[in-house]
Amino acid sequence: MRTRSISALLALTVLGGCEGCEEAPPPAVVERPPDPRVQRLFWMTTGSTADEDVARWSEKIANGADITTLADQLSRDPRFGSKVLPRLLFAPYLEPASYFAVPFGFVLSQTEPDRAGRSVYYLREPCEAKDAEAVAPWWNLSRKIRVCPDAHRPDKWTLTHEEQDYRADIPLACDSKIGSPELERASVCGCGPNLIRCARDYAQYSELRAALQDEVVKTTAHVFEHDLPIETLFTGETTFRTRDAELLDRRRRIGREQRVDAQPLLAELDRWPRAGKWAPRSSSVEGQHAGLLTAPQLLHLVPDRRQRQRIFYEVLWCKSGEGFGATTERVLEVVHSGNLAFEHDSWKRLASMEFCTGCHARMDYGFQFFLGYSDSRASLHYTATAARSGRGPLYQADIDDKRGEGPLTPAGFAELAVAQPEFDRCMATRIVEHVLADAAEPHHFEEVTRVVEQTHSFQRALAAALKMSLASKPAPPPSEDTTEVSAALRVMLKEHCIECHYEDTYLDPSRSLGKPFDFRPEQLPRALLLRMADQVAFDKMPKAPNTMTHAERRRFVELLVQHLFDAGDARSQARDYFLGARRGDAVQGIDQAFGIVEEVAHREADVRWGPLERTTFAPSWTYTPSFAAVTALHALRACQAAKKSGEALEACVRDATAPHRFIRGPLR
Amino acid sequence: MDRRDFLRVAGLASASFVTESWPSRAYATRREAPRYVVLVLLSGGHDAVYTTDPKTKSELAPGLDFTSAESIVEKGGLRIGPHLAGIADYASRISFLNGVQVATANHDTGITQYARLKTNASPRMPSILDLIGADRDGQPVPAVYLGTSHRSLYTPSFFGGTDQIYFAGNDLLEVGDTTTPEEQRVMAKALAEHARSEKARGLSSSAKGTVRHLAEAGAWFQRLSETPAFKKTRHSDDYATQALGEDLDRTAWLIEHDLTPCVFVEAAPLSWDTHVNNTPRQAHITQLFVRHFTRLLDTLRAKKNRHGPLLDNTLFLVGSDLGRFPQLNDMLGKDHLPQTSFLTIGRGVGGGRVFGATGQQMEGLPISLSTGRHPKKGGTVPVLDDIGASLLHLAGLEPERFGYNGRRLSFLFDT
Repeated sequence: MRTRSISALLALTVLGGCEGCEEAPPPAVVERPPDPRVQRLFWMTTGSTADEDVARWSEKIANGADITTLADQLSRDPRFGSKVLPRLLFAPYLEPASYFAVPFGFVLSQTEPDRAGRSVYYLREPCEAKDAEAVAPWWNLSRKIRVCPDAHRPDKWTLTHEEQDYRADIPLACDSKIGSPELERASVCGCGPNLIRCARDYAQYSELRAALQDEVVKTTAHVFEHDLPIETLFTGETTFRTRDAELLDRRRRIGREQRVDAQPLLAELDRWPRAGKWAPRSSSVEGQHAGLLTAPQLLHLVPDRRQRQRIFYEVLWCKSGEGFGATTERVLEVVHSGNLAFEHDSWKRLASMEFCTGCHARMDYGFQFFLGYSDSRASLHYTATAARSGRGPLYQADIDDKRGEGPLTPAGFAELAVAQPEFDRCMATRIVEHVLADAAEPHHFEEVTRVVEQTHSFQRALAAALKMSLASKPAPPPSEDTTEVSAALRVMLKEHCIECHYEDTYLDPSRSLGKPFDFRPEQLPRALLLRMADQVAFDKMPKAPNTMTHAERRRFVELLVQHLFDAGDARSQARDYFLGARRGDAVQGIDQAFGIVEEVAHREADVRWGPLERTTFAPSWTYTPSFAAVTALHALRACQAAKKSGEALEACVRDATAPHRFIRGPLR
Repeated sequence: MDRRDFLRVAGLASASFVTESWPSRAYATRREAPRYVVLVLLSGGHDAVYTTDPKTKSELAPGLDFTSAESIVEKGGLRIGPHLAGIADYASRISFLNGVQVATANHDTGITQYARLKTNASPRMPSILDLIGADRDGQPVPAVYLGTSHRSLYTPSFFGGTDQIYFAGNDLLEVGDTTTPEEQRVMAKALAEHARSEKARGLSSSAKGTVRHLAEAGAWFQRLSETPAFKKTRHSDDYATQALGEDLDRTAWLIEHDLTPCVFVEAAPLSWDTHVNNTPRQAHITQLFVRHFTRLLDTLRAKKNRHGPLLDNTLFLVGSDLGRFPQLNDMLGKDHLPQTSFLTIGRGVGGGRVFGATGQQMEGLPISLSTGRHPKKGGTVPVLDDIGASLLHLAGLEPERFGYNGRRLSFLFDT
């Protein structure tokens, strides 16, 4: 139901008294403009325009309802779990195609039908029909097809080291990329029993690949909707799998067990709901699974184990894969041969070396828990014999930051990882960054972290963030303070920097890379102050646990800019860079934006996008020329699908790309 | 008539938003500044000993991987490694800079830094091309990124395409190729209108950013509607080769039609990250790159637009996020080294010269900031920030105002 304003109704009363009229004109409807807070609440939580709900709630709130009731209601809306939350948690790892988990080389081709109407499936080269073998393929067990012998090979499961010149000490399996025609050295492997490793065609291949992404999205949605503990996402054997995703899980089991006949495991797959269900995965040993960490989309997205571990830490602890401060001299000194990860236990040396330990203690000790899962290029199933036994430690910042020990299994890793304070903080961060965008302050993160610690609930965390957003105050205007710079700067340096920056004397850029330079001297080099401004302006400094509010950060940078640049063009340009950075407003995630465009156009756009936007986390979701262009293209296609042309098309595109629909930020 | 007047006279209504809130260059009209800057990332780390810094056995410490003397090409004043031999015809126009410190052995950090030509950079920072392209001469967008796969390239002014392998190529450039001029004008009009209405709304810096970026996207579609469409050429059945070929073709198209002052090309599908079988893989991908890169140079050399011959107006910088360790590992691969080298060609490059110096372990040695050579005494090792500062200076921008504390390498560009 649309709302009408009181003033409009009064106007109608006056105009309506028309004596002598044969028929009163229909009352003109004047809509109450939607409450922008309500509108943003819906966009942010449901990824939808929800026009009717927005109108209804705007009316209710105008009549005195408490908007926090709406925030509470929307914090339980399942659409947040399915449309928004997966992107907040997994953004860079959801979109890229997992070419390792579903090797591209295992797509069959088909010959033209012969006179008898028979065609033959092949992997490498076609063969004579008479040579082809009859096989019941996994996609239709009741109807055999003809396959070239080299594309079948049901009993070939592993590659010997002579058959592949890949890494020496890793088990090599036929179900992997190196067993596929894409990376094979010679024709060794085929599609296996019931062609279980292969796809019939590219359409089927794409469906299988999409199923891996679905597993991540739907598992997240399920955990959110049922308000399961957040940790459930990353621990245990259970995920939400479509029928295709379940097929891929069974495929891994078939590989693990090296079955020559896959049929018994595939026969009742038809009973699995096509849309999926929440169910445990198969496993051969205790602790083999760790929630979504062992879902192929995350586990096999990248080839090697360190990269895999880097993904895990970013997802679990918001720990980015950055590493800075290495010098050629030191690297030459410490590395004598080889990739130390693969040389017996020499990775331990790397994990404790200066410069290296900041990443490698975490990564290299971390991947010991996952050794049952090989390098993604070499094998796609769990190999119990490759796993380590016993218990192992987990490190966070470096080799001096041990966080406990657990069984050397994926489950052992996950239980330790989710018990760390960084996990709660990270989950809270993902929510706060989305809801408060650039207005998020340290206390917002702290408060939502407390909610996560206490409730382990995404819904409660979201509710808390939404209410903070409704209550947040506008940021103070940019400071025009002209206080004596050095004294003011000195106070801020003491408060935020000196705790770490007191040892190394700054020399010059080539000799000071990555060192915590001493900030205590009265006179600091200009080059150092410049770097300081850059690091603070763009949130690289100060490092946790020291934090700065936006106002403090802005003031710090302002002081530095005033100190470094003369008034006029130089200062104005520097201020524009350090404090503006050409960033546009924070916007919704690109898929939410597509959804909004389609709702406005009332049609879906037939475009399968692969934009870089999908690889980023919420802090990078801002109005860029790319975002504007992509949403415009999407709007064009959606409006055309709605049969709009001429001026109607122009109006539709304009309406569907209206920036206010996409801009994200505080709800005040 | 100054540059702003020119823009107004040219009637670029939407472009005027673009230039309004971003101060103009200190000396934007300097003659030596290239009209186009192309930054190419050989993703993963090229091997200097086979490309820009070939060394024989006697020049290196025992046990290190070396280049055979007969495979080194000496031409036009350059000593060219065997993997780059295909570019020898351009030797007199090319310079190398070796031994550049990047302070990281990590690809993520390296790529973030490379796009900014600044160490310890943040993904939130504009790229160096965003800065150079911010104040431009009529082109619709500051920079176009091609073949991107890494999220740190999603800069605050990002505009461009993605790696065709991981993203299936369905980016705004590919989808944009399927639109008609009439459709492009519809989008241009909508975006320009939004830019105008948002301008009325906003006071904050982010609102200004939104206005600017809406206007840029609108101007892009407007210019696209007036520009011959990009035509794809079939180069290879191999997707990585095809992707690279297409991205370099598109680079030529962007320059020829003056659609942007800056292009970033991530040659991602080839991946120079050769931890296994380094030498043959480096040879294969670098030679493949060289084949397509020289084709691009040939194209630009043969063509001109209203601003002059294309190659003469374009500066190329080709480098990597990090380098390769000088010694082979047990898998005949090479691990990471926090040091890279650059190839430069085009406007501002003297050519036929090798700058920078490396020692017996391929380690970067100190150089004179004025000559680029290893002095008998003193000197300083070049750092990535020095390249950034020098490039900004060439482009007419004052590096410090953009947080660059690197030294100006006066030898690198002829200014």
